[in-house]
Amino acid sequence: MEKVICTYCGKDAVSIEEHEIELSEPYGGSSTIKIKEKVCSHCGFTEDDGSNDLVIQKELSVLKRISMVKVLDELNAMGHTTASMERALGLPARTIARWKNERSMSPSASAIALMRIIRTYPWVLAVADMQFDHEAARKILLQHAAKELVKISSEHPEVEVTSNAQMSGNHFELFIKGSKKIIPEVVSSGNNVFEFLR
Amino acid sequence: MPKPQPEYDIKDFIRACKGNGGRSSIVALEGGVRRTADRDFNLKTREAILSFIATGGLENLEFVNSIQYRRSTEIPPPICDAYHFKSGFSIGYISFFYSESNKKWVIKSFHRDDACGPTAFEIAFRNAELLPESLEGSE
Repeated sequence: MEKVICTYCGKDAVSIEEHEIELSEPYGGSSTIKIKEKVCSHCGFTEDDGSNDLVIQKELSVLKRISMVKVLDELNAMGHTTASMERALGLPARTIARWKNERSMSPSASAIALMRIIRTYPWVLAVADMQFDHEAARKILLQHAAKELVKISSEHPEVEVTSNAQMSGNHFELFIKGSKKIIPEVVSSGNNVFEFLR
Repeated sequence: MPKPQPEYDIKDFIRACKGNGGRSSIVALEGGVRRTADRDFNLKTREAILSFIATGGLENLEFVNSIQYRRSTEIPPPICDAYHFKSGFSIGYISFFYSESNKKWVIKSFHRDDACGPTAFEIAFRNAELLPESLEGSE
């Protein structure tokens, strides 16, 4: 068996220690695996063991597969059918269905990245459906930004949202401001009435 | 005392990372480097880290310092070069040294600069050679 020597001090006082680490993938959850670390008892230097890559890659491919299935399930649940997504994105028929259903097939890294972007911003499908027309893309983006603002506003009734847009000279100003609603609180003290702003 | 010039030619380090498509066996990671590379740059394996470096991932490299890396008093400490780099929206920090005895490069740190790298004040004090000796080599 080959002697393991410390990369720092060159001594053969190296032992292998196992550690648990958590791996996670967006929309795929997380899992715990054991990795090895070379620890030198002479100088205390620790080094990542070369065999860890294989273990990590194996687990990541499992998490990526879970991530893809979850993303597609969620998009389907939102009303985006597999066929409509394939059509909008210009993918050959059954491509997405294969990513989802064929257990033997690992979707490529680019496929996973594409579907995660779509899961995060599903309205990108509407942009794709419009052949990525710049004007249409801008309109869709602003519509969804407005919807998000309304949503945020309803989630936080204590925040007052004001906005304005105006042409001024040779520039266009647009602002959206969220500020905590001011509730005047009247406190009496003797003959004086103080108004505090919360 | 930190050196004002890098100890190594960074091109040699990057060439070593190229190795065999990111599978270079002459570049090792110190314990903890993979964890911070994953946390800060989504690089989860040694192969991913080395491929990233080999393919020009360290943009706008800026030399920080060159200091002795002392873990043991028995061993002559290797010199560790540190750089800032840019990648996408992030500023990173990498430090590495060459182990003469093992003929290996070792990546000592690889993380986002704002995570736990030296502060702007520390860099400025180091450059001005005003950093107290007790803090030399610390991160």
